[in-house]
Amino acid sequence: MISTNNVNYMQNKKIDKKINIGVKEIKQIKMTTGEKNFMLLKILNSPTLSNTHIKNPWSFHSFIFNLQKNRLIHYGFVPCMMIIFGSGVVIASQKSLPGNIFYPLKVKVVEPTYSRMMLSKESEARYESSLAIGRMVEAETLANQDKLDNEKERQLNDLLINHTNTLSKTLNDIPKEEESSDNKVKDNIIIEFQNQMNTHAQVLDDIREKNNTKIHDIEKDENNTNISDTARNNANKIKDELRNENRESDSDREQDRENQQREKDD
Amino acid sequence: MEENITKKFEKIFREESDAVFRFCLFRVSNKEQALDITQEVFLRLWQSFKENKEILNFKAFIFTVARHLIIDWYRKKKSISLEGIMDNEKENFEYKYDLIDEKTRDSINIEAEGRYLLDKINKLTPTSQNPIYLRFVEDLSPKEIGNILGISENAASVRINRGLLELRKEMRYDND
Repeated sequence: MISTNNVNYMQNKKIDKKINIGVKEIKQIKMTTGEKNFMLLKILNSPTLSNTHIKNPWSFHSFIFNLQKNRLIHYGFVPCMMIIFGSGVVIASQKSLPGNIFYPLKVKVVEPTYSRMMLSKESEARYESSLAIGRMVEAETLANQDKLDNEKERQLNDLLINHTNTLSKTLNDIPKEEESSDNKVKDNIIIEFQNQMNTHAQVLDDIREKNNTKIHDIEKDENNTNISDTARNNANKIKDELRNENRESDSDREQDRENQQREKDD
Repeated sequence: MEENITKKFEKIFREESDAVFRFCLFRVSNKEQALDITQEVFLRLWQSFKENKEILNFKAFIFTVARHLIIDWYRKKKSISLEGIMDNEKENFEYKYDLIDEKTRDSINIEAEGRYLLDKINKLTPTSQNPIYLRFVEDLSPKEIGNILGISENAASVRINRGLLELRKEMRYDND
């Protein structure tokens, strides 16, 4: 009597044999030699992938897109660009002359900001003095290029008056302690300012003469003011103010002395 | 160096190209498509060679690439949603061993027993089809099968044994 296990074993053996035959038949399925050779040739001659990335023709747009998408880049990039463009404009405005689009930025934003950044009244006064001299240099440059028309001269003239007023005010604001540390600080600034103004006024007049500009005609024009005259006037004005101040201080000292004498007598 | 790489690649290609071709053919059931996928598989192997990438098991590598390319091919062919593929991937098409279409049948000489065995493999539970095919037809080890299917060696062995029992059972009905 054949046991069930034996029957199963026999059946399994038969099935396994069938599987093996099936496997052998399946394994007969192959590519032809021609197909294999063609495929191999194609693979071996295929272009190798380069490690370097292909440049995207839309890289600029992608950059802008990423910028819009990524908040971190956005918040970093925008201030950076503002700083770069801002400093570029500031540098460009430094060499601008009246009539240039950057000139208002220079005289209304950059120079007042610099002035406010000065640490002491003395350096502020020196800076204001250098600005006034700068206006004269600008006038000379324009005159030399024969571009100094009435409007530009008026503009420079107004600025020069402003600088002189500010200088005068700043000199008055110099504290006594600072003044006492160097008694001649104010005098030096004023003398230098006066010299520079007179020199540049003379240079400007010379350039005008050289260019055959009709100075007298300009002077006759009611709306126009000659910048070289303004420069000289301002220089004298500052000098007079200093002289008055010295007189006042001398009279104060004399009065103090009299008061002290009276107190002693009493 | 270049010559060595080419020789090594040629050797692997000569030894394994037929197995990969069969593996692809029984899934896509189209000879031209199977040839295309086979070429793509070996092209990727060749590029890996060129880039000096380290490949621990070439057989596992090429069958894994083939499996992924077949999945991609099904996705394109069936134009079904990605979610649908993810949900039904294992059950529906990844383990499906299609019978070869008429045109291919004419060009490829497959005997009755071979066709019968493929038919029976196709009737197995989806998780057993690939392990059985790779183990008995392509003689891959359970470790290699595990690597290809992304499962452990033990899990691959279990699937092979269960699949074999299932296959025998299927074939026994016909013999009885």
